[in-house]
Amino acid sequence: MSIAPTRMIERTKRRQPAVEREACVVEVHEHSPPTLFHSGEQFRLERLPVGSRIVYPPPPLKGLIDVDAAICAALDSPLGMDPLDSLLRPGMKLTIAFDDISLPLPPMKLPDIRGRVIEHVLERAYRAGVEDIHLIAALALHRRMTPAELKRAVGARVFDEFYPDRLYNHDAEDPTEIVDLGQTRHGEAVELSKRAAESDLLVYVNINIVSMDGGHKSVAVGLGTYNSVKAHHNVHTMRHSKSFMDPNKSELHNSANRQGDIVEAAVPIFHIETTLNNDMFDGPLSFLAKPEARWTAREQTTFAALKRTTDRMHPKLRRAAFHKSTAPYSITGVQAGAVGPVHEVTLDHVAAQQAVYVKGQADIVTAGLPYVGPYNVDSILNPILVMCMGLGYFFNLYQGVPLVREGGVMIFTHPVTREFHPVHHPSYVDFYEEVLATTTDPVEIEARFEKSYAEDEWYRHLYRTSYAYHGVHPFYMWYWGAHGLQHLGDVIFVGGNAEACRRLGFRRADTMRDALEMAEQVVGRDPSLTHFHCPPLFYAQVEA
Amino acid sequence: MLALPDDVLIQQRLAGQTVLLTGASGFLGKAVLGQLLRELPDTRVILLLRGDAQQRLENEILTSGPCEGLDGSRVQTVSGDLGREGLELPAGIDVVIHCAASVSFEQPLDEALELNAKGPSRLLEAVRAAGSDPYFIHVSTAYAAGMRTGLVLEKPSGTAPTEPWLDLNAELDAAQAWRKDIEAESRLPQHQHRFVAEATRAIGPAGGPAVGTRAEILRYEWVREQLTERGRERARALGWSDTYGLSKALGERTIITKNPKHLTIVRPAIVESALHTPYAGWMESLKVADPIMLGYGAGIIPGRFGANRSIRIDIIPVDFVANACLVAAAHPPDEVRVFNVSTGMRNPFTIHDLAEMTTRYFRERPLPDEDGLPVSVPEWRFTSAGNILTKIERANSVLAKGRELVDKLPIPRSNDVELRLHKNQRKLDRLKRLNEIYRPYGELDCVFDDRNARALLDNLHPDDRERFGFDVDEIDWDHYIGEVHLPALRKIAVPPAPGPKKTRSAGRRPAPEGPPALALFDVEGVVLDSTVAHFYAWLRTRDMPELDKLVWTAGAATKVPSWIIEDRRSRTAFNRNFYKLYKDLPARELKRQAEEALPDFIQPRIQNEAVRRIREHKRRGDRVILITSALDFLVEPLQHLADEVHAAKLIERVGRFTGELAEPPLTADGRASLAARLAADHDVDLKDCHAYGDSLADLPLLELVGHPHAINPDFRLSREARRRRWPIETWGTERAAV
Repeated sequence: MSIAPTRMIERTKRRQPAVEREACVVEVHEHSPPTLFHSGEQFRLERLPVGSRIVYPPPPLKGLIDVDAAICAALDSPLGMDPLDSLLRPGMKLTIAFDDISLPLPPMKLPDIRGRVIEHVLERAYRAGVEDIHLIAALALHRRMTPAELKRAVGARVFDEFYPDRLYNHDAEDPTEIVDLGQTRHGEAVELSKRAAESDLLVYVNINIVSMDGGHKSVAVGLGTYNSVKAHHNVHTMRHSKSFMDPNKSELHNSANRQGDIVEAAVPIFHIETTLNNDMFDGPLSFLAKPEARWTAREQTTFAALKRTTDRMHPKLRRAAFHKSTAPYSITGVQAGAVGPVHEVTLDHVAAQQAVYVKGQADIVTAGLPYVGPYNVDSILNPILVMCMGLGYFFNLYQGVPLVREGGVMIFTHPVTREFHPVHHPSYVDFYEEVLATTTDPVEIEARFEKSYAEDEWYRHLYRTSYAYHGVHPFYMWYWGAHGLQHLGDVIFVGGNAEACRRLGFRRADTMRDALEMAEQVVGRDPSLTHFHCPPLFYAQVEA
Repeated sequence: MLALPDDVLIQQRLAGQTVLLTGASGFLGKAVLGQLLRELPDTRVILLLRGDAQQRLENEILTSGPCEGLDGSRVQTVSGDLGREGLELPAGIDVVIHCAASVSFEQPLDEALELNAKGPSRLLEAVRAAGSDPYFIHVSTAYAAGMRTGLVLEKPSGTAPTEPWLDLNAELDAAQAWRKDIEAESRLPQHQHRFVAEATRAIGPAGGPAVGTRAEILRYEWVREQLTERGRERARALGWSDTYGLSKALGERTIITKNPKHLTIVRPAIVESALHTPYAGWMESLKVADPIMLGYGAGIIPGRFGANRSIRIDIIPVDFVANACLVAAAHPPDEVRVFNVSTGMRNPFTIHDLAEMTTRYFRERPLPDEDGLPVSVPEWRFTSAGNILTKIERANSVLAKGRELVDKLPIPRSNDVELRLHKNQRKLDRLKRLNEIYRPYGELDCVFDDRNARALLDNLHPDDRERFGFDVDEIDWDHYIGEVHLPALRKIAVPPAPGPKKTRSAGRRPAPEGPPALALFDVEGVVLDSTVAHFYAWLRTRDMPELDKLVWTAGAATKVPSWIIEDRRSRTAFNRNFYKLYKDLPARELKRQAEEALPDFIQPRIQNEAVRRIREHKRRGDRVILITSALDFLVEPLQHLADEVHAAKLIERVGRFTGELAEPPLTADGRASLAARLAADHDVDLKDCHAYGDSLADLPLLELVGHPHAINPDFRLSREARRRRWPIETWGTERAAV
């Protein structure tokens, strides 16, 4: 098999979509309506002080009209690689790895793009006479996907044919199915799924929803082990990834790229990346993505009804209802080929949908945390995931400099209840009760506790045979927020549970007004305030 | 009458003399010793104490209130027991102050007679055998006079014409015979059955040996109760209120017959906290009248007490009695002298006054109840004793019915109901006891004459009156009860207020200490919030359609009460019977289904604190062992949590379960012996082992190890755990969230 030398596709001059989005940054004036804040499975309307800025997400891009044609085109004319057909031959070992349940958020309406891409790949493989095909959910240290979830991701046809012998979850703790690929020049260990590493071709099917995902991170991390992941999932790297949503300035990505190079040297990777628009709210709820001032009378009524219902619903029913919802995403791009060039194009697509230019940092940034993050699909956003959501994701959704100035305050709305999913997050409970009760300092946590959790036999067993996140996973969630913890002067949760917020080391307030007063004690009187109106997902390109 | 002129001070009178003091570890004895050390520097003191006398002197006596800070170097000690023959004493004793006595009102007659009636003469004979003929001061009690009305003269027992004739040896023989009789009777089948039934009800699931031990304790208690009751009846038949008064009266009579050189019988009334020395309110434990005052303040006595309000209650501060003894020691009489140290004559204090002062005090300064909230005390009323006892009996029978009912009917929240019933029962028992003991005192309408005491006091040198005064006129009852005695009582009954506490316990519990050993965890109720029945229900219903599940559950629910009742009697029997449900079920099919147990059943029910604790034990090198009555294939995943799992195994025949267990169920003492064997196997000391259990079936195991932990205990285990001061913890699951 030959791999063609990298062919860079001539592309039209890059556009700078972010700066053309002045309309996404709106100033609050005397007559502005109250602002929508997500707060877990509830909603709040808060009046922000006059003069505050609200950064809204860009409107959803128009998706591809014929996704199948786009997939075919990508497979037939890949970037930096020969067409897929020419890479397939009878008797070869083919492995198809795909992104796990953590993407996209919320889950997309059927058909899932992963399944569509996989069907095209399989069709070509069959045509070429390939018989030895395995499908692996590249879930790294995430929880295993249930049969139903796998079926949803790959489609019923593929599932029925391959499950369970040839369609399975990656197991980072199976000593017999892991191969050591050596070290990078920085001494980072590279361990990979044996099946993937020993394949003649590894096809990776990705969904790119934030700029952190994709690229070399897909294979090196998704099919890696604790040993390889800990090379960059640590406090030092996270503090030097400013931000990890900006791959060019992210130590995390540099490290993953070095590992990716080692992997690529061992096994040829045919990388397929797909991008989605930010059409997250379906049908009658689509107004949630719009500025409040643009809500029609009918939408206002809908919102009032929605708020009343969710406020009065039993929490369990409410959670079930929210987690059943899916998003009507459209596909904005399908790219295939060598990892590097593919990812570059993908990032352009992500930027086209998500980037908003914001001038200047604010003293205070507010944001409403929604009910779902990458690690609680069909589960519970426990306090540690809330921290990761706020300080890991929302804080890091910037390129350039953070939206909030150094020493500034972030105010989130979320109930922060002490609730854990007993099956999915067992190690989180212990992290909360044992580690956080001792300290909240990421460096100390890493030094004192990480190893014992990572190597715990019980957690390992739960990760391998049940549906539990790996024992070390809550640590990564905490490290995700390490940069934010270092940068911020204070973090306040409006409506947060007192005990839980205290345990996390944050403050809490009953109302936004109280929270703003508390924040003023940190940043001084008459602070500047920016509201990050997410979801739908986007990021701010901030110029100091 | 007095040999020396009155201007000689007590210090001079006793200078160079040797005083033998008994009962120095008691309330009055300590007060006497304190005065001896403080005021009489030239007098030698010998103490007769049980056990290691010198050590007790240093640890118990010299550190107590009256002797604190005083030089005890001139105190000599002798070890010996007055309750037995063969006492040996040093020579050269001039004065004996005999304070040693058993002061319990609930003592079997033989024990009381042995110490209180035979003790004094035994002591005198021992002193004489050592070559001295001392002046004997016998501390008796005003109540040795028996149940009299009107004026009680200061005459030794047996000298009034109407007093019954008593034969100490006959009484003692009879009392000892009772003991034999009752011991034998308690072993008769009808009594044994009762003890075993009650023990089974209390700790049945803890297994045979535990039930046996408990039944034996009940038998012992019953024997003692019977003996006390008979003693009391005998004393009352002879005209005394209890064995205490009777034995003291016999003591007086026997000591007189021994004809000591000089004899003074000091008869104090109800001795209570000190008024002056060593300090106002000195008292170390509850005295005669205190349980009533305290019981009232704590809201246990519901404002009703069987007594007559105008009766004088004769209370005397302890330092007055101690002084009286020393004054008597310095003034040997020519013939037998008896004097009452009492207040009824000159400074009367009635039950009505006591009730009023106590009510006022506890209204102004209420005691905290079990929850730390102030008790609001009712008006203290008096009725006849019979009336009260009838009411108590009635309440008792209602409670007994209630407990029986709870025992038979497994009702929801039965733990709470049982706890409440138990608390009420305890309250009632206490009330009943108090009423029974004190009934005669509440109706004892007499006044103790104190002419002799007065004469002694009037003869004292003014300096001695200052130092050794016992003039009861000076007692201001309002001051003594309200400012001295009740605050002293409070100090004993209420633990000192703790300092400010941190409101949130952020810190983790410290890790267990000691060398690594075994950590044994019960699974049901400790590691998992479930029972063997839950496992079964899950296994049977997991593949059923919703409707079938509903029908099946309804069918199973009808059996639950009988299971609960059976489990309360014996965990072993329950397990055996329960596993019969598995009869004829396909083994392989069930085992296949059990593979899903981890996410579906085990994880949601796991109590995470258990996982953390297991990890903690592993970290410090303990071997973690899980013991469960659940089936091996269901708890298979727990292998990864612990080093060893001991589970139940069903017998299989041609692919189906027979419903029989391969080995006896691992419950109660089976768990304890397993633990003992494992400890021996791994060569560790059971004292270093930890065990975690949630029910009485774990009691033998918990009792065996050095570090027991009661986790979410049911009412019965929590009662046992509290009694043994085991740590009790509440663990939970995360199931509520999903």
